[in-house]
Amino acid sequence: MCHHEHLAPPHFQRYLARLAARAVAAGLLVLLPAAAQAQSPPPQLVAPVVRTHVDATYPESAHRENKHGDVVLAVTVDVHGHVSAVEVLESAGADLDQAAIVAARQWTFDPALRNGKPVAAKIRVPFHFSPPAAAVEVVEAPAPPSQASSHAHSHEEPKAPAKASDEVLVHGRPMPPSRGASDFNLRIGELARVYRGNAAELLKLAPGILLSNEGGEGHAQQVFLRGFDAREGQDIEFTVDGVPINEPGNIHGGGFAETNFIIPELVESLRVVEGPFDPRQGNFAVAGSADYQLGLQKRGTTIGYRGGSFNTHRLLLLWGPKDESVHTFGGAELYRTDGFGQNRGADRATGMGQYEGRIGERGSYRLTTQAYTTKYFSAGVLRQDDLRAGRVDFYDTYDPRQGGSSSRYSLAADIVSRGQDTTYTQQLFLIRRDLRLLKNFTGFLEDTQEAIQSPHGQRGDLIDLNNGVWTMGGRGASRIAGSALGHKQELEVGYFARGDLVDSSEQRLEATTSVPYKTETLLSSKLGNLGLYGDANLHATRWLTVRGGLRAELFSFDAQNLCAAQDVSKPSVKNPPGDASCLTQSRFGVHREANQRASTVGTALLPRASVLLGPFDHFTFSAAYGQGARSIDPVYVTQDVRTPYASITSYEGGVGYARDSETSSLVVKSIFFQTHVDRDLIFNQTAGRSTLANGTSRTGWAGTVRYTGMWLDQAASLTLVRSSFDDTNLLVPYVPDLVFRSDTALHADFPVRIRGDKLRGALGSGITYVGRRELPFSERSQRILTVDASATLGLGNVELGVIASNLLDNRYRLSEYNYSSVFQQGGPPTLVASRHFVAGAPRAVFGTLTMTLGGS
Amino acid sequence: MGSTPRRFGLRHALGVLSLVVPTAATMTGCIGSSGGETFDFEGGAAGPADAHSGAPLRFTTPRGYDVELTRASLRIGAVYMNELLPVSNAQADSCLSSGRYTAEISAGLDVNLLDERPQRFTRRGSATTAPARAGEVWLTGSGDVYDESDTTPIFEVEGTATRDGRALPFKGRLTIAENRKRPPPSPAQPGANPLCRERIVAPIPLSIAPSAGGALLVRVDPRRLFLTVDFQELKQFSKDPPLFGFQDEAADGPSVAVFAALRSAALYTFEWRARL
Repeated sequence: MCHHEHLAPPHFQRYLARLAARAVAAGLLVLLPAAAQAQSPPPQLVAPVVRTHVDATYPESAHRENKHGDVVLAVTVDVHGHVSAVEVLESAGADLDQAAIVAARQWTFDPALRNGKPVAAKIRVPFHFSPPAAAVEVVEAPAPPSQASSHAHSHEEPKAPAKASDEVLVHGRPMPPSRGASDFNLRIGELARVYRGNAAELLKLAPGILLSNEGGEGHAQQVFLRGFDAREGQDIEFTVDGVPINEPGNIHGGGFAETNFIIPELVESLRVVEGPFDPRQGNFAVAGSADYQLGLQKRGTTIGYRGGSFNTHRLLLLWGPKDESVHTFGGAELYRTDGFGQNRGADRATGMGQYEGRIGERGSYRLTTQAYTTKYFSAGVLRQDDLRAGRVDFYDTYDPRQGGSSSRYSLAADIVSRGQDTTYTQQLFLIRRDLRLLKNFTGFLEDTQEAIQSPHGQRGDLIDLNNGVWTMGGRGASRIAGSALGHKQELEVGYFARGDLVDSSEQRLEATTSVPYKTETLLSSKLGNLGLYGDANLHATRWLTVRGGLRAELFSFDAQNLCAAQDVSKPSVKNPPGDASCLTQSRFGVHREANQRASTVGTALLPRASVLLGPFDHFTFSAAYGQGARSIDPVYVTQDVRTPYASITSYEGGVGYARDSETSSLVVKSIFFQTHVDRDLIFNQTAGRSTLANGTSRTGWAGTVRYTGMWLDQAASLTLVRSSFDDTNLLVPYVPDLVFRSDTALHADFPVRIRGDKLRGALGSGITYVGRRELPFSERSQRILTVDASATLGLGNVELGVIASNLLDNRYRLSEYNYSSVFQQGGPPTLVASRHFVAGAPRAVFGTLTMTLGGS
Repeated sequence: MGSTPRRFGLRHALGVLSLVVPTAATMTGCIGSSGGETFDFEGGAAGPADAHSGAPLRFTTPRGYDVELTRASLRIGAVYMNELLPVSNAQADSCLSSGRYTAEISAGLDVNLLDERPQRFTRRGSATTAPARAGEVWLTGSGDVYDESDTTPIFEVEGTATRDGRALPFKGRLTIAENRKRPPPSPAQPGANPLCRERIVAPIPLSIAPSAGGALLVRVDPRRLFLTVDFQELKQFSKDPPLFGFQDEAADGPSVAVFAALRSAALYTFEWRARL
C-alpha cells in the first residue's frame, strides 16, 4: 500500500511565515494574498527536491518473518544533488536498514539552495516496510517515477526548505486501505494538463463515469456511474477531505452535491470507490463515493488567466507558501461567461484556503475555509420535433428565466495524532448552503385547475426551487495496529455525525410575470445522521488480506410541512380559501393549521468486506461485498412510520496488474460488478426531481489502465453495464451502458534554453465516448463523442497555452429524455412522450497564461 | 522493486488483453430495452359505416321523427388515447387525465359525418405501444381548450325532420365558447366547471393496443346526436321558405340536447386498423 504523506513545516520556520500561513486558515489569505505574502518574506533557504526516487526492496530475509518496520535515515545531499552520506537514525533491524540505505543512495536531488546558491544539506527520510501482499494490491494512478510505490517505500519526498545541514522532519496521513479493484486512488499528476471545466470533471478519471448538466454552468453536474443515474449526487457520497458535500433533504433531490466550489487546481488526488465496500462510506454511497483531497504542489504565488470563446474569462490565483506543507494553500477564482447559444451565461467566485500545522512530531492539524457564490442561466430542454420543424435552433431555449444561484460557505478543522500503535483522527465542520433553481421541463402542462381556484388556463410550469441548509457535524476514528499471526493487523473504529437544518420550497411561477401562483412544497426539516463503524485490516498470510467490518446508520427526520393541505373538497361557502396554496380548512370549512409535522427514524446495519489475494507477482485478485444505504427525502416521511431508506447490495470481483520500473509504472484492472437497489430513484420531469421507483439491478464490467512514464501519462477506461428493473427486467432509462474515457498528457523539456531556462512543452487530450442510452419506450439516445485538447509552452515561471474543448465541434446532446411537454401554445398540446434533449457545448477555444512567482 | 529499468513486454500486454477482451465480449451481449415503442401513425375520422359517401343520411329518432341529414360536419380539434380509464370523479375539474397518454393526433379536422370513408387528419399521430383504455375527443377550433373566445363552429348540420306529415327543414351551428360555460355549483368552488370540461369528451371507454404500422379511425354517428331532440321546439328562422334552426345558446332546448349528445362518449367509436 502506498501512503501519500505530507510535509509539515520544519521546526525552524520563521515566526512570520507561520503567521502568514495561519492567515490562510482564517480565509484572509484567499482574499488578500498580496498582503499576506507581505508578511512572509521569501526564505533564503530552499530544501533539496527529489529528482529521481528509488524505493527500497523488501528483503528476502524479512519475508520469512513478515516484518513490518520503519527506518529513518539522515541523508546528506551534496551541492550536486547526490547523496554523499547516509546514517541510520531509527533502526528496524539490519536487513531493513540496509535495504533503506541501498535505496536512498540511489536518490538524486536538486540541491538545497542558500540565497540561490547550492549548498549541502542533511534531510530526514523515513522508509516504511511492509510485506508484499499489501504492496501488490493495486494502487490506482501510481505516483510519478520519483514517487513510485513499492514493497517498501519512503513516505514522501522532502520538498520543504531545509537549512543546510539541518533535518527536515516529515509527516503524513494514512490513506484508507484499498477495498479491492473498485477502489481508485486517483492521483491527478500530469493529467492536470487535460482540460476540465470544473472539479466534477476530475471524476472522469474513474471508469464508467459520465457527467451531464441540463441546468447550466452553476448547476451541479449530473453523474452517471456504473449504470446508476446518480443525478446530482443522490447515489454517490461526495466529500472534500472528508467534509460532506451531499445535502440530505435537498428539495431538488436528496443527496444533491454541487462540487463547483472546488477549484480544480487545488485537487491533489481523488479517491473514488465504486461501490459500498468501505465501512467509512456513509449516506448516499449507493453507486460509490468520491473524496476530493486538496493540495497544491506548485508552491509560490500562481496567477492564471483563461479567456476565449463566448466571452469567457477566468482569473485564478493560487498561493502555496514555499516553506509550508502542500496542504497549506490559498486559492481564489473569478469566472464569467456569456455561454454558448441562448441563456447560458454565468458568473461565479470561489475562495479556498487551508493551513496544515504540526502537532509534535507525529501529529498534524488542518484548518480549512471555503466560500463560493454563483449566478447563472440555463437553457433547459428542447423538443426534438420543434428542432426538426425549425421552430427552435439547437442552442436555443424555451424559457430564458431558467437558471439559478448557489452559494456555499464552510469551515472545517481536523486533527491527526499518532501514538506508538494508534492513530487518532477527529474532524469538525460547519457548512452553510443555499441553492435556487429555476427549471421548466414541461412548458404549459402541469397547472391543474382545482375547484376552489379561480378559473385559469395553463399559467406555466417554471419551477422555482429553493433550499437553504445549515450543516454541522464531525467524524472521528481510532486506528490501532498490532501484530498477530506474524503479521501486522489493524482495527479501526469510528463515527460520523451530522445534523442538517433544511428550509426548502418549491413554487410554480406564472409565465409572463414570474409571480408565484402555486406553492408545491414548503418544508422545514431537521435531519440527523449518525454512523458508527468498525473496520479491520487483517493479514492472514503474506498474500492474503481481509478487510471490512460493519457500519450502523441511524437517520432521524423531523419534517415540518408548512403547506400540508393544498386542496379541500368541500370548502366553506362563507369563507372560501380561494387561490391560496397552503390551506387552513378541512372539509366543510373546519379550521386546521396549514402545517403538519412528521418525525420518525430509520436504522440500517451494513456489512462490508473485501478480500485481496496477491500470490503472484504484480497481480492482485480481489472480491468485495457491501451494503449501502440512502436516506429518504423528508417529503416522503410519515409520522411514526419507520423511515424507509434505499438499501443497496453490491458485489464485485476484480483482478489488477501493477508494475513499476524506475521510469514508468502501469496499472491495469478488470472488474465485474453487480449492484441491487431495493428502492431506486428515477428522474421525474413533471416533478422536476427524482421520485421513488421500484427495485433495480446492475451488472457490468469495467476495465481501466493507467500508464505513467517519463513523458507520457495515460489513463483510459471502458465500462459496460446493464441496468434493469427487478420486476419487469426492462432497462432503466437514461443510464449509459457503454462509457469510454481516455486522458492523455504528453510533456517534455525541449533541448532549448532561453536565458538559462529550459523550454517546456505539453499536450493534453481528453476523449469521451458514450454509447446510445436507453430512453423510455425503447428509444435510444444519440451517441456522444467529444475530444478536448490542450497545448502549453513554458519557460521559467511563465506558461502559455491554448485549449480547445469539443475540438471536433460535434453537435451532441448532453442529455436526452422522452416525456410529454407543451412548449408551443396556441394549438392542441402534445401529450404523448416525445424526445427532448439538452444541447452539449460546441467547440470553444481558450487561451491561457499562467505565471508563478516566488515558487520552488 | 529495484532500480533496474524494465520494459513491459508483449507477454504482459497479452495477459492484460486476455482479461479485457472476453469480459467486453460477454458484456456487449447484454442488450435489452426499456419496454414499449413509439411510432407515428395515420389517423382519420368518418361518419357511420353505413353512410354512403356523402349521400343524405336518413333515420328515425326515438321521438318519431324521420330525419334526413344533408349536411353534418364536426370539428375535431385533437384526439387522444390514455392508458387509464377513470373510475371515480376524483379529477372532475382537471382537463387532462392523470394517466399516461399513449396516442394522440394533435391536429384539427372538419369531419363530414355523412361520409363513411376515412378522412385523414392533416398531421400524423404519434403513439406508444402501451395499451389504451380511454379515448378523448377535443372539440376545439384553435386547439386551446381554455379559450372562451374561440367561436369556431364545432358542429354544423342541415336537414329535414318529418313527423306526422309535417316537414321541418332545419339547420344549425354550434360553438363551444362562453355560451357553454356552466356556472360553478358553489361560490366557494369557482373553478369547478372549467370550459375545458365542455370541450373535451372523455373518457371514451376503449381497449386498444396501438402497434406500429396501424392506423386509428374515429367514427362519429350523427344519428346519436338527435336521439332526444324534439324538432318541434326548433325556432323558426324564416317562413318562406320555411326554415327552423338550432340556436347556439344554452337556453335552447334542442341545442342543449345536441350539445349533450356531442359530449357523450357513446357518439364516438375508436378503431385501430391495419390501414386507414
